[in-house]
Amino acid sequence: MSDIEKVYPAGLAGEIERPIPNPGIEPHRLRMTDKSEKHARTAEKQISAMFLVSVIGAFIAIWGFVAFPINDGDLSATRNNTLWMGVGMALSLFGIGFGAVHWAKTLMPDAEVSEPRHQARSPDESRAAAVEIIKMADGESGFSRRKLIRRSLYGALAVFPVPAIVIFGDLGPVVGDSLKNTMWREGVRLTKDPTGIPIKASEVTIGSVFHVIPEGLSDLDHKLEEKAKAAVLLVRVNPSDLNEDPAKAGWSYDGIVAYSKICTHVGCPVSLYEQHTHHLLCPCHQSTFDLANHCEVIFGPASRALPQLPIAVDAEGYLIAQRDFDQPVGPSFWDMRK
Amino acid sequence: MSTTSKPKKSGGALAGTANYLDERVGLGIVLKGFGRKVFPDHWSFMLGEVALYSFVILILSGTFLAFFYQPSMAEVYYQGSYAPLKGAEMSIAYASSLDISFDIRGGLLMRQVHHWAALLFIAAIGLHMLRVFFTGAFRKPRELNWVVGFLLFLMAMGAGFTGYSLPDDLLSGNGLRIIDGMLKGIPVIGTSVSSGFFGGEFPGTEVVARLYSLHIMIIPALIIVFIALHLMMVIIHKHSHYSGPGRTDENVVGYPLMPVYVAKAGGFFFLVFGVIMAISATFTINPIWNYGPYDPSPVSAGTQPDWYIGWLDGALRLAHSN
Repeated sequence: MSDIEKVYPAGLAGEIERPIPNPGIEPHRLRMTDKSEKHARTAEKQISAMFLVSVIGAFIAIWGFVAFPINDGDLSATRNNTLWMGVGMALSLFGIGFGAVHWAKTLMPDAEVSEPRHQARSPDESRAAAVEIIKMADGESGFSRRKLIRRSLYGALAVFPVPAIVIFGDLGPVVGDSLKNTMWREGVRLTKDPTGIPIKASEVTIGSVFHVIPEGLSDLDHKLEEKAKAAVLLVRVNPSDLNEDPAKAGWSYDGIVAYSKICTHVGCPVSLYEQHTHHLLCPCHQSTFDLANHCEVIFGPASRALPQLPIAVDAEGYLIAQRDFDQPVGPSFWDMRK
Repeated sequence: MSTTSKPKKSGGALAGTANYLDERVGLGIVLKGFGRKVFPDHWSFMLGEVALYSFVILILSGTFLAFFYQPSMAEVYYQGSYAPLKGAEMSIAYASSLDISFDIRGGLLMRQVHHWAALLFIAAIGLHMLRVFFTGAFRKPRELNWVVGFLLFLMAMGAGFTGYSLPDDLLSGNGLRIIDGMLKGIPVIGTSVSSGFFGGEFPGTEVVARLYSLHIMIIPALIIVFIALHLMMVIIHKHSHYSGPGRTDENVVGYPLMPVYVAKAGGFFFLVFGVIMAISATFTINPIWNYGPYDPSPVSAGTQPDWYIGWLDGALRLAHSN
């Protein structure tokens, strides 16, 4: 019956059973190097030339190491020894690689061969023997028969890994309230990051941005941990542009506002400020905060407004904190509101 | 050329060695079984090879780097050759990464070989998976090997991420900050998990050494075990091959391992290594000296992880914090 006469169910592709007989592996065609000794000799010379190039490359690499010693402050030495050792070694590797492949392609046999492929499935008698072994082992140990042993073994196996988890208990201390507090206190001056120079309110012109750290941060032992919580962005805008909550009206000073710089999404520093729209943008995942509206989230994956640092000015005209943030800074966590 | 085919006793040193090995470990059976094993020929079958060879190159270059790298977050003042950072306060991990780059001949080259090889490793795995997927080579009996391969893909990304964090530069520190934020966001146990990972509050002084242990011990050990499993199953199933005259479900058509594929695949290792070496000699990757030491406050616009973590970073943009 020809394929066309077959009736296939609608909508299903039919499988064509061997429309043409297997023609077998294509006949092998001789290469020039098989037919002529001259061509074979040429290929032989090419291959050994490539291996020679490899030797030359290795010497270039060694020369690159010796010829460009490290010179304090002189980066050209680094550039040169990186370049020449790399180029030398690449040449050395390419020489061997191309030589070996060329050898295989021109001089080694290129007649395709075939070998049988066997099913992974074991022969039936082996499967039967395997089942027999399992049954025998079960009978000899009494694994199925002795329920008490079996169930207590399951219990022991379930419990024994627990110490392996508990033993990691000292990987880190239990975090108490430290995540909820920063080093900002009443009267701590706002200083420039990283110099630590205090900032006078009069220096902060409208539209300017200051990266701020608390005074005394550089003297701490754990300054990175503190800085990761206390970093602040200070901006001055036209006071009439601020749409302030009456309850927080005293937190800014003449249009100067200070907000935590640590994104409430996953903690990147929110450091891109757009003057005209008063938007703060986090460069990592594009959360956008509206500075004019207490940094509430207007776009992106963050869900919580950036915490505001209440600020004031001391007798000498320097900006100071009124107190710590009223809520935890940085990425939100489970028990943050407790 | 013909010494191996002569009776063993009459041969020279080669035959003597072969005889020694055969009488102790049965080399003859191994060579008889695998010496003429057939390898089908197609360019797309080389993608998996590229991945395997990249891994070997990663181990070689990584061992060199481990001789000089110090996984400590203790703070020091940099005194190395790179003038713009002289006197800057930084972690020992970052300082030793700078020393590898500027004060050890071949150090920068090996750092770049390691990074480029890591990118090629993951790219090759991805393309290899596409080849297997679109040729249907994951179907019975090869389903388990697809799963093993997929786990290798995840481990490769884990190796990449842990390695990316080791120089402790500004970018890698920002990456860890994001991990901290994600860990803290886990319901109920988030803060404890973060504290356990960082040894206290972020960034702490522990995390680089912990990532280093993962990066050079458990992850590569697992990758080696899974590569062994992967290749064992390839031997059990034999290579798949494309359709063509004489190719059926019951045979494998191609060239024998000895000598053709020893030369081709062996030569191809040198070619892959050569390409990575040539790129590393001429193209800068991850210039950590431009980023500076980690500091929680600055960040550069367009802070992105290496491209293969991009899908996770993108997923994070969709994941709202609470």
